[in-house]
Amino acid sequence: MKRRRLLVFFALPFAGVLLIFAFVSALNRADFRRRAEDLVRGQVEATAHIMAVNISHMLTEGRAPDETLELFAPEDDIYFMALLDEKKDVLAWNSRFEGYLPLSLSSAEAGASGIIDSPAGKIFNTYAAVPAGQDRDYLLYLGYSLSAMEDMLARTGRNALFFFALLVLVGALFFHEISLLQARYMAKAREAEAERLEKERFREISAFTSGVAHEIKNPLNSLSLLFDLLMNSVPSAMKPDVGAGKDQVRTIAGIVDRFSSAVKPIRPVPELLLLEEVVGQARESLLREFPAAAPRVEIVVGSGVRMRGDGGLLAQALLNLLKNALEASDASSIRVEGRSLRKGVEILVRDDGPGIPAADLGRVFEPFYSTKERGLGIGLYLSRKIIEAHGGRIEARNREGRGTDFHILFPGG
Amino acid sequence: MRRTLALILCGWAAAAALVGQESPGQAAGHFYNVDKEARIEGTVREIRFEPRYKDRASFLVIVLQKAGSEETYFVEVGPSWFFGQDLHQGERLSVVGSLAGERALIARQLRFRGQTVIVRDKKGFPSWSGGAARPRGKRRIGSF
Repeated sequence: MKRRRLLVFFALPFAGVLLIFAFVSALNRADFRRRAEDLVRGQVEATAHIMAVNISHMLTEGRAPDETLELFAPEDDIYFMALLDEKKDVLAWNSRFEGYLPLSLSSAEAGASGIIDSPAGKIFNTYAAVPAGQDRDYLLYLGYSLSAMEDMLARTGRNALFFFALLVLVGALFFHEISLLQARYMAKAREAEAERLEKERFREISAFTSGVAHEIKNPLNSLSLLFDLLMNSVPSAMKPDVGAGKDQVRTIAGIVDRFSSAVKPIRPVPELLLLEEVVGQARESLLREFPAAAPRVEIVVGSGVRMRGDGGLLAQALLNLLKNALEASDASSIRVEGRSLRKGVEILVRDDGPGIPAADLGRVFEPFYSTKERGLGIGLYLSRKIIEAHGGRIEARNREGRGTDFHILFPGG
Repeated sequence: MRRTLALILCGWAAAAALVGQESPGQAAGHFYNVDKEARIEGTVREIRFEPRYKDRASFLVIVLQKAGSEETYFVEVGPSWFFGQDLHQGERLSVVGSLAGERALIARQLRFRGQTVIVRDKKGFPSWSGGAARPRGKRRIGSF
């Protein structure tokens, strides 16, 4: 899925969800505010009514207005209160803030109410009738702090904002992960496609190579038989030439066999092996081919290192690496090290040759890639195939001006 | 400078205490009434500290002689700790505030020597009370 499509299919619906959340949240908060204000209004009016009744009793009993109001002073949420007579003159008052009594005489009527904005927060004010006996009707003016309600509303707003931010964060993380997942998926898909194409190409090559090998080996067999017959019938002086001819036929057959084996799929038959035996087998094969190289080959393998694998194939893989090292390092020695790791077996094949040019390091395991005049570029490729068929991996590393290391790592051990 | 002011103020306070003159204006209607806002200009005649609003802290009260008249006004400024400017007897002073009785004025804004001091907002809310962030403290009573 392309990035743009991802945006359309995921980001836009998510933006819609955010918008809906913001809208519903705003509606909820507006409704909450309305309900809270109604509740506070009811509470304040009830408080004013109760106080008015009490004050009425006290005034009727003959208490002075200021003495009466003072009895109600400790109320914490009431910012101010005042007692007004029928002429709307202030008989007594008190306030939490010195001299602050925001009184509008024009609206001073029983039942009137309103909200005042002050530096101390919003104040709900209300007027309540106070019958004081002897046909006197006073007014109680009350200012009730809405700061608790405002705090609660502010907290609700902060909570909504917090959840919105959390939603955005979770969404961003989700999209980030989706984007990464998509990138990984695309990379894997590309890899799988490349692998499929390569396998297909190799199947074709394999089929072609097998056909060619078959077609070549039939006449080669005939040719070989012919050389055998010739060997018996030619004069002695010609026998070396006939022998050389037969050797060439054998060489061609060997080349054909190696090509055939290079393109065949590798199916190891695993068994429990001792690493020193596998390495020893490879060494023996090498020395059969290059007997003079015996003093140059140094083996350092820990005893008792066990691993699972196909002994023949592994020895073949090591032999190819040893031959490559031997050819690369002229007269200097080559070294094979093997050891058991916590989660695997490591083998190192080291030579003291000129090293591999950095640009070629990544290509040395490619099929038919060779820098030697007579090389076919199959040996290292086969080694890699065998190692990978065992679940292992191999890599070539240059030691600055001191040769090359081939690191092999097998799982298990 | 503040120490000088403090000394001057204390001197005047002591003098006022000795004279024993009682300032008028502390009555039931002694609150900041926006409908009774007025501007008075005159000369500082006396500086006092008086308890107001049944508070234990003293308030700064300036006795102001109205310009071109013999009338004096008792200008209630604010708690003594709140007013931090130099002010001397004989200085010219312009006050905007609410008339709270015949000769009492609750100041909102003072102007002298080119500087303006705001002690209450336009609705009479005292500047020294802080506002919403102010912790809830003891209630001030002012029912005279």
